Amino acid sequence: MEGENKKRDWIDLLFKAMTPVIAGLLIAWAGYVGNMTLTSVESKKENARLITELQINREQAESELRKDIFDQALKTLLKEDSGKGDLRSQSKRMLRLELLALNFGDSLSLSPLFTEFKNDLEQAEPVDNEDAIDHPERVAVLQKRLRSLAKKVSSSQLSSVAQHGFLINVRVPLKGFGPRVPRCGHRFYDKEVYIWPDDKVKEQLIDLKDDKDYPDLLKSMLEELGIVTVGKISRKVILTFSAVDHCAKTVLVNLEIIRIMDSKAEVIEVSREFRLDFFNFPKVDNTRLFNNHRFAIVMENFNVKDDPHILVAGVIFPAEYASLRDRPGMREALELLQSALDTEQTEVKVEE
Amino acid sequence: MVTIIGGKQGDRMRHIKTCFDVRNVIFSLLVSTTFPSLADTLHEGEWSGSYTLYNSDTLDVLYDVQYSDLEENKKISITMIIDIEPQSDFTYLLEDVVVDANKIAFKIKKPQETKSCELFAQDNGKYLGQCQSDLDTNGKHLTEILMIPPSVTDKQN
Repeated sequence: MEGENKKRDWIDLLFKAMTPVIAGLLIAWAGYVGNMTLTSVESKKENARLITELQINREQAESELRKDIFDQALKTLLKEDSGKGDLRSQSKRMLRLELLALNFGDSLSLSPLFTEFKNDLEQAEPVDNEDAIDHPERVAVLQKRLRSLAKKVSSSQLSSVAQHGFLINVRVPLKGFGPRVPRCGHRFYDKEVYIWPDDKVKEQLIDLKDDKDYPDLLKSMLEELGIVTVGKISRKVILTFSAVDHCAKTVLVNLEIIRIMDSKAEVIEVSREFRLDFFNFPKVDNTRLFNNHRFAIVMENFNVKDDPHILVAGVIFPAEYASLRDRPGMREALELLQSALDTEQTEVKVEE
Repeated sequence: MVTIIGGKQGDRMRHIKTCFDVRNVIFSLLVSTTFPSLADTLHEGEWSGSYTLYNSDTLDVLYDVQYSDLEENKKISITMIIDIEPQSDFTYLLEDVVVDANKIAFKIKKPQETKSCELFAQDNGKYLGQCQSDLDTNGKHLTEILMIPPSVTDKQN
């Protein structure tokens, strides 16, 4: 009995002695873990702050660089005598326009700069003997470079907005071109016109003209080709082309956009005539439509060799993909809100 | 010094000479059909080529080579069409065209300048050369010009 009591005393003593040690160790461990966690959290926060700071600095540096390029390029382009000078200085001017168009084409209306440059090149005269060597050819090369730049900017904008909208591709055949391109001043579609989609459908159905189903077929194909639906809104698009100038590379376009209401009634949204050239950029140069939609038209190609034709692309897309400078007006915002409410109500009814 | 060769040796030499003459004729015929550039006349038809400006921009060119119908004193006419818009403004009728065995020379008269060009036949049947403008007094702004006969273009295709 006595031996057992002694043993128990030892165990009690050991417990009593170890308890503060274990408690101390546990507190130390808890402190260590707590400290580690806090350090890790702090370190993560610091890293996040650094990354954000770096990102902001990078963006700031990029913005400043872009601002510098913009200032330099625009300042030189808008100088009073920028249109004068020899063709080497015009080539440098082209370089600045290229910088501006490729960096800021999405947010800046560049058409006036392109048109001004085109006019300056058309009127360019040699300033000395050296400049007079191959002057017309060098001017034509610059004109070609200007058109290529415009095509590059507009096609990249077109592919961007077309992803969110409806794209129409129109091919206007240039009948009457012989093996040699006619002299400047000759106009194609001077007396007649090319109407899309009517003429396109008629071309496709030319072999079935005498068929008894021809009128029905014509009607259904016209509806299939010429009716564009974006965001539950259907529209009829009619494009009429005339007065094609193959030297200036322009065509007169009459645009008509008709909205088809639920009741099948039709409302004319747009009816206007304008001269289309390569210097139209869809994100910036577009027409406002109902429900905050936009319509843009672009000349993609003007081919005077081997099967002469003009390629034109039209696109209807939501305004949010247009340039940032193009904000919706108060009325448009209200229409947009109303349209969103209508959609929500319809969805609720469907669910019920 | 004159050496008179007679007898059998003379016959042998004459035979060798005749063989050489025949070979020369055959060779010339072969060459003129394969590479018309080596003859004094050019292939009629549409030639291709290029026109490289002094700032290194290169433009494609089409040449329309024609001979007048008159059998005697055949007159060559070459129209150069630089492939750039508007094409009608860059179509030139070449003047003072001279065609030699391995050279073509002509002048391009433009509204503001006249270019004198000399092109030389190359081994591949093409003609390559340079044009100097009358405004280019120091010869620093030469235009490089290339003419490719239809037969060579067909072979390339």
